[in-house]
Amino acid sequence: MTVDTSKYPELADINEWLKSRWLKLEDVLTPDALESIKSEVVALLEGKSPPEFSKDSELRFFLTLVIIKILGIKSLLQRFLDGERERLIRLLERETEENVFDIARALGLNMERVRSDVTRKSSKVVLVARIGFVEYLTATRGVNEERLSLKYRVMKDGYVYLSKEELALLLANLLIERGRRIYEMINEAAMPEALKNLAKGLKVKKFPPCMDALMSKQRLNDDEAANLAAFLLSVGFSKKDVVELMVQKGLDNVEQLVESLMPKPKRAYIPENCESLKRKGICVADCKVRNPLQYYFGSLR
Amino acid sequence: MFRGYYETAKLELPDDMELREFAIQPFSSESYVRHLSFTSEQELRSFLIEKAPLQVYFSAGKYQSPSAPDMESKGWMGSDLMFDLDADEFCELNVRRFCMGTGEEVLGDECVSNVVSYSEVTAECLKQVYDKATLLKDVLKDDFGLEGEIVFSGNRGFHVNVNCYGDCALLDREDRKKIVEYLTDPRVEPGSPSDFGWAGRLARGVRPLKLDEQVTIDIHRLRRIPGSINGKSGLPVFRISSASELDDLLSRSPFKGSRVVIQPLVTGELNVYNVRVTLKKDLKVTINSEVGIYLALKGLVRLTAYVK
Repeated sequence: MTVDTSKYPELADINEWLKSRWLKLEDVLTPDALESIKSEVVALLEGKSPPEFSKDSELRFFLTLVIIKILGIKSLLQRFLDGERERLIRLLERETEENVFDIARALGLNMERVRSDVTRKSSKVVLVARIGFVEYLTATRGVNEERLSLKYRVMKDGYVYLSKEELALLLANLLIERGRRIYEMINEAAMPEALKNLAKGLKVKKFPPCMDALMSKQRLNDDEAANLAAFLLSVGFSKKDVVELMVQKGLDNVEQLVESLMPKPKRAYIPENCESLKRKGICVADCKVRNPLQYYFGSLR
Repeated sequence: MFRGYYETAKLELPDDMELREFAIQPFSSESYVRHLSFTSEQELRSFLIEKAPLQVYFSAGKYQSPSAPDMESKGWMGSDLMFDLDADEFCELNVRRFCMGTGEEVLGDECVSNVVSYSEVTAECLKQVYDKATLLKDVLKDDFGLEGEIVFSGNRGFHVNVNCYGDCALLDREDRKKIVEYLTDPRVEPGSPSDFGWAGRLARGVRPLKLDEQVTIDIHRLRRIPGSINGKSGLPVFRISSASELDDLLSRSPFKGSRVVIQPLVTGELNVYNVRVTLKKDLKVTINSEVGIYLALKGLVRLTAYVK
């Protein structure tokens, strides 16, 4: 059985997808298609949840990555992939075991079907799959998901055992890594002019390079976290979104940190100025502004 | 004495010794001579007899050019898995501190010259650590399907080594860190005692292990050679399969059977494993060589004569 790539566009080869329809990329860039992609990227830029593609999802997933690549905003990629990960987890948890194993195979994993169980919170949890521990470690290299660490797994005879939920979490993260690799391989210079023009036409408020770099880091120290949180709250991110992001980046006491930086009557918190960020090694480029917020709001651009 | 030992010592060397870097620590040196390479036991033995080093090691890593002068140019081909368990982590060691000026034992900062610390390790303590090493060996077998071997370091700890080939050898530092985390900080919920993995172990009251993470994640780490002498004690490094082998460690000393004259640098009553020794600074005495050498290597006495 083959995997339905319209549900899992990370597994699609876009060139094969186009070829099977006797199309070239330029052929599918109709005004309607471009407008649709544009509205999806604009929604992402405005901090909304990533789109759930319903039609031609392989193409739309790819084109969204292309536009993000042309825009060169890594934090936007992160937001897109984070949303995609949540979608995939929901989808995979509902899939039949047969389909889940097909996806594992498509990802190149030597996953074996098993039926075993362990006790958690006084009830039995069914373990449905096992994979060799070396392969598990190799597959999860670079995956930024604490719950996939080996220390959360049960093991026996050299195998890591997984429940269906754990398997869904693993596969969703591996699919996301595949999406990231597709993004890395996109040669934005070789993309059709229509896509470049679309990207140019977007009124983008760009994250300053320092904040963009912090968004892409897997772990933040206290100074980095405080500055990024202050920046995000200043540009309109919700407290909930910032808390979630800080948790993903491995920070403790996140609620307390974010609450302390929330705007209060007669007091607003902003990131430290660029001089101070330079001293702390957080600054990564000379943007000719005094504060990262000036870069974002474009007051000196 | 060390030279004489290496003339006949049974060194347990890896089958692929030509892929390993060897290293020695010479006497009177804090540093190591690294990037050595040998293709046969005889070649190594001749070198050890010539140099008579304080300690000798081979690498956990395998290399295309083990004698290349830096790690980048060695051509890493994989590493064994190594785990280190030290008595410090499992027992309350009686740590004695001696002021080298007066030779007296000191408790605070009242010493104006160098202070030498001496940790009294007992057989009972080593047996506790050995139990943990056995647990580690069992977890490696039951959970990872890996065969570990327990080696007594010759001083106060144990190494559990897994000779790795193929994919296991190619695990990187991050992978090895995750293995250590699995062993030391399992995050599964305690399940039923019959469950496998840590779920069952935690339910049975088994505590996670304490390991030196740095030893395991370092793919270029050096391993002591079973059959060589630990230069901190004068005792041999050896593979161990029963706690009873720790009952009379001093009897394993290759220097047993002769006597030495020692000049104590400190004053006090000390335990050398389970042997009680009384020292008075500068009062020369003749004692069994295995104890004298042990104390000398700990910096507590000076050897002045060897009695045949």
